[in-house]
Amino acid sequence: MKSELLFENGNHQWVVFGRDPDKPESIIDTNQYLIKNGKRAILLDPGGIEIFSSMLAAMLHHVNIDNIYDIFASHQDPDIISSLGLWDKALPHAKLHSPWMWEGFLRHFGCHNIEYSPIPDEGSSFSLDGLELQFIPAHYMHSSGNFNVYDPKAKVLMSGDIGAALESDGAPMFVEDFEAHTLKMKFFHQRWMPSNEAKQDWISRVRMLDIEYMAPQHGRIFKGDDVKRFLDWFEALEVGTAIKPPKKETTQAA
Amino acid sequence: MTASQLKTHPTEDFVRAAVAAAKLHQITTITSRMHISALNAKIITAHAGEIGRGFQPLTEFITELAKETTSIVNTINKEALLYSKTAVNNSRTESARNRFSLALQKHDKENISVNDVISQIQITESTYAESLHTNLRQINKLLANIEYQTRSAKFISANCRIEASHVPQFQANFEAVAQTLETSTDEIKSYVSDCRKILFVTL
Repeated sequence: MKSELLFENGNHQWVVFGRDPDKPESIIDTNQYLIKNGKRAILLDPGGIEIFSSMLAAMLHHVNIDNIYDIFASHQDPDIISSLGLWDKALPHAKLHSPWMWEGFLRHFGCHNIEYSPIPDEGSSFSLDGLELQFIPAHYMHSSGNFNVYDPKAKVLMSGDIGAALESDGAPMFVEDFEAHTLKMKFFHQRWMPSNEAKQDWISRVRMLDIEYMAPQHGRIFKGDDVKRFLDWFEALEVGTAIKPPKKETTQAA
Repeated sequence: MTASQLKTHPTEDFVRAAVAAAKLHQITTITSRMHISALNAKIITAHAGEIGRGFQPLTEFITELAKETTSIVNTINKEALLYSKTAVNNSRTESARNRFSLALQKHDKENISVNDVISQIQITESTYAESLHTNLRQINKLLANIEYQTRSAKFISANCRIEASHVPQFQANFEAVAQTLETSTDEIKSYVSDCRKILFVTL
């Protein structure tokens, strides 16, 4: 599995993992993230069970296993967290930060040692060895209980499924041509995101943040001006397309 | 995780193998340093001309040693990662067997089809166990190869110092090469020793 340093300032780092050449072909590619600060580290959306071995091996090049006390799962999907049963064995003293509503569901993946730390609907903040991270509400985008992670010092927003693109294996890690990239994002956002109202709520929150990198769970990372381009593009996009609006009845003149 | 921490807080096989692989990977940084040192030595030998002739085969050896050690480490890395993956699959299979067995216990009557599934799973577990055993033996062999290389390196380092004493104009340079080789060798030995403890490898 490939890894790349997304941000570094002394002991404060963001690392992105993905593009695993050993990944089975039939499973969707995912990006996993590691934030390090001081002597602590947190894994964000650590990935599905099929990529666990590759993820563990790649992660250990960047951090000692005894420095990881926290895992974050943005929502309940298998590509996010079906590896939980194995992380439960590898990191028995860790805490899992995840939406309150998914606790009973995520425990189906196996969670006997790890402590579940439920995140309330309004979000919360978390200190990683003195670095404040914010869990930003992103409900119904697409999951009904869902959070992004914002690091105000690194100016990175881990946006989960928002900003995702369906790409071929080995795609570059960063968006290079935004217009061309929208073709890879359009169907995903129209079909996976259920609510235009929820979309607008998220956009309003995120526009207030100072973001240099927007890092989704699938596809490429947005850098600099492409972050604002994405927000504008997404705001104009109609989502929830699986449900067609009801036909309006018209009465004909006699 | 240090070897002593792993002893007091035993972790899963798949974690230990992945930790050992990551630790071993750091040896490649050391062998790069050795390779650069050998290149420097070659340049100095060329400048020294006839009087530095005795040093030439030593620089060749150091270059080969660095390459060979890197190659062995890369192979061990692959074996350790394979071990880690197999150990993960073994863990999942064991978990599946336990669940099927539990289902059978909860079921009132003898169920041949579930018994068949459990038998198949046990065969798979045996295959994984054999694979893990083979992997560990191979890793052990390769670690022993590196240890052999480091013993040879000590001998070469001593010879470097002897040759250096014959070339006063370049003595400091050649001694620096010998020192780099010694330091690198000691570091590699330390990593290999840690890896053995982490993996609990016994012959």
